[in-house]
Amino acid sequence: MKMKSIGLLALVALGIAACDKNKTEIAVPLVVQTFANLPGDTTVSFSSTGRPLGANAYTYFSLRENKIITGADTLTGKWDIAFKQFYIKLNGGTNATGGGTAAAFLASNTLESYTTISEADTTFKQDNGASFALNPAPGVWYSYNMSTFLALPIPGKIFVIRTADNKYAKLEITSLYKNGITPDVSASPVVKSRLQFFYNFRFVLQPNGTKKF
Amino acid sequence: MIIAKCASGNFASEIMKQFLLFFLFFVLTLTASQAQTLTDTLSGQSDDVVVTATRTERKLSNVAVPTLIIKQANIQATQLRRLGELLQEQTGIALVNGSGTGGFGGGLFGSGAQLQGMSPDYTLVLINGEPIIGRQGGSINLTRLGLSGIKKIEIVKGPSSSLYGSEAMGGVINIITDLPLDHQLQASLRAGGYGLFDANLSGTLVGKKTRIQLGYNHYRLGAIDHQKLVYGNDQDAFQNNTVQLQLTHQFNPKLKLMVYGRGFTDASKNRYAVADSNGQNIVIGGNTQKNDATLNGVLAYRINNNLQTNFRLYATGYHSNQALEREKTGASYYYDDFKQQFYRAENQTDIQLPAKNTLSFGGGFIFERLNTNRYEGIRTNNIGYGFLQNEWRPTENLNLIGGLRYDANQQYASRLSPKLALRFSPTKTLKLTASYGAGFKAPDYRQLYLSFLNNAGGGYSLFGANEISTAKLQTLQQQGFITTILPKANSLGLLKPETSSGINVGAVWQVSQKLTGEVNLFNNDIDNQIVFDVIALKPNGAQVFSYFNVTRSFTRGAELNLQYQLNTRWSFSAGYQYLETGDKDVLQQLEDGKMFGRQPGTSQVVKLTKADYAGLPGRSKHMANAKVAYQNQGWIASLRAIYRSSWGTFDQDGNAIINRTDEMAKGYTTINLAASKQINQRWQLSAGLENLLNYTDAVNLPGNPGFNAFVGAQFLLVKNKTP
Repeated sequence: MKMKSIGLLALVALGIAACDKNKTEIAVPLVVQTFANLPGDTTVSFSSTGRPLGANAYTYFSLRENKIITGADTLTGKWDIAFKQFYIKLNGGTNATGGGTAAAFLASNTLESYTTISEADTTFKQDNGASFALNPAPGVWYSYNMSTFLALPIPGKIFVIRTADNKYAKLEITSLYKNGITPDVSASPVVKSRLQFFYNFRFVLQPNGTKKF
Repeated sequence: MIIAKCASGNFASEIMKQFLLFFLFFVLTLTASQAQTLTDTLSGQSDDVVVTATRTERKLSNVAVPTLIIKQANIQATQLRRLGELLQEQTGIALVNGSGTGGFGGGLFGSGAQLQGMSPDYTLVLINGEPIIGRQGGSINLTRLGLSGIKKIEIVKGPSSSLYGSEAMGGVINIITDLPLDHQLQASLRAGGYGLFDANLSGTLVGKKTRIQLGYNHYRLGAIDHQKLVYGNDQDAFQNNTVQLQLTHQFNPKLKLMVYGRGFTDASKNRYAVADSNGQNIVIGGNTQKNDATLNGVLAYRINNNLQTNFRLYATGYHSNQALEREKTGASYYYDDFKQQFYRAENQTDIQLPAKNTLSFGGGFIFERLNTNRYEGIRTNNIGYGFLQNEWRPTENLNLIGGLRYDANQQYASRLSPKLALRFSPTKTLKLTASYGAGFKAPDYRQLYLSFLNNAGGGYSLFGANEISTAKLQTLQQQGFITTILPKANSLGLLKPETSSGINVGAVWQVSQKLTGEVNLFNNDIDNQIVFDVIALKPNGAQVFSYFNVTRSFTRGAELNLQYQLNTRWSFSAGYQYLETGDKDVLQQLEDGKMFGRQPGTSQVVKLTKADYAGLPGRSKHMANAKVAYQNQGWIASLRAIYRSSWGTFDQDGNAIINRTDEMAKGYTTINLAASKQINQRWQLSAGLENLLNYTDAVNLPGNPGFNAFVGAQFLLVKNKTP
């Protein structure tokens, strides 16, 4: 499930060293980490009318550890972001179950080209009840085609995240389907539903607390 | 007749502005001209008369808007049997689906006519000047219309709502039926591959003052199934029957009655499989039935040479029914019943005014009724409209037409549609035209009345604009059916019609007696396109959608036509359309560098530029046709080639636009050959080969058969000159 060391951003790290003249910092090459098939409340059954049903439960994730957080740890600051169908909540704001300070906003860029968080701190939003920092509506970070019943992450939409422990990360959803393979258009809605909500994503975490990747 | 009702103050002031502008134009055209004697409005070089362009009879050579006439002889040379087959051989016409079935904005293969790159939702189809109803997924299915008993088909491209009201945004196709001048009784039969069978019987009686005709057509086409591995057919077999009745009675030289009636039934058996929740196939079977019936009466009263008035009464109904069940258990799987009725009363008066003006004005009232299990209750709409058109012909080689129509109704915002057209012929062989026209399309029934819960595709709900409001959402929220009302919900309200404005500039040059060339440049801007957007969220995360006037797009291009008559036997023609289309907001995003795509086969994200954008789905950049026709000693033959370049199908990488080759269907060429021979006074034999290159694309052209051949015979039982 877990893969590491996909690409090195050594150039970016050099850039950081060049810009920050006042601080002496060791340029640590940042790694693009990936995670495959995070089950974000996948379809477990169908209602009598054929509607796909999940277990209505979030799956919690730690960016620092690049792993799923379960059990009592979901009530701590160990997790940063959690997934349930199209809902994504953060460990910060009203939905925080671990008292974290996580916040996020959506940027339009490629993961590689987005190298500095130049947006004001107020751009970061926390969840506030049903108003999510990362809006679950289609057309925001994913598109939903009503004739093919397929949900696809919109390319060029990246989540800029402040983690539960006040570090910065950037994350790109690559697929919402199992193994990152979009089902064939001709597949039945049932087949599509069963393969849906397997989150596949790539992210870069800057552990030193700066806003540069 | 006009019901004054406006959506908003802004809209009202816009109407006032437009009205003043055109009032000014009328005053100008009426006063600027000098008093001269009237000339025959039908004078001109061409013999072809067009009625659709101005709603008055005009010589084609005098018409100021892009107009195509397909005559009976042209239809005969192709030996085609259905309207759609004939239209796709014309320059710039593609057969595609409407917006309701083609994903976003219309696009995939279908049987509606796309004119100037405009979705078939925006093509108005008329029989003898009266609209055909019963749109499926936005478009009129052209397989409902046969080609027997047709005198000609007139196609006017570009927005024409100033004369025809709603739906005439992309253009108008007017089928004009034939009523022979002699007694006759004739029959024809046709059989071919893919289970093609076509039979006609038609009889005409001609009296001194009365002519009456009764015609019958039976058409049958077998199943088309290129995807053998997929259970069920690409297109199921269907058969249909059409009965047509025509009557004219000349009471006196001034008063004439014309009656047209049509009855149509179409039936198909459906059988296909769906996967159940365990991935097992369930076989679904059932029947689809489509019927329409029409009665149309016109009373034409020619008061004197300068004044004519027409009263028209029109009643039409459409009924479709689809009942599908699980074959194993007999349990109902899908049931849909749709009944639509349309009644219209109209008057049009044409006056020849001094100073070479022809003024046409009129008004009408439409009553629409809808009864379907898709929406609750019976829906009705009343539409009142009035129109005014003036044609000014100061000299033989110049005419200027201004027109205006106002449509008012109860269910959506009212609309004013202007038109301006100019024709100038500097020489006898050259005609230059320029026109501006406005078009609109009323929100369709889905957009107004739908109340839909999708169970299979994630449990989303979709509401027509007249079915939901912020107040209703608040109630639903209090009841716990929805959790969040999104800001978009604040802009819910009365939908406006989708609108277009089109500009056409063209030239027709008769180079010699043998060669004619034609060019037309067009630009259509489409505004207020209706799309759905999310207004609220449900507790399970599913979305609630409704419709809004949002999208803006354009189609523009050039059309070229060449005709060469070598001698009495051989003639050649060729046509080409270049087309660019796009969504204006998408283009803005591309310009701002905010649109990205994903490389096929990888998850690599790249920034897109305008060059990556392939425009609206379902539009081919290049379409071309060429035809060789031969005619001699009872032989009529034609060889036709049609080319259509690749077109967008659906998005694969999540950005909702067409930007990759795997989001496009391949371009293709079809070649058709047909010939007929008049054996004697009574017998005519025919044969043809269709799709000679055997091109098929089961996914993107599911109803397109491969290579096919047919034979046919026509027999004239009786033909007598009028007593």
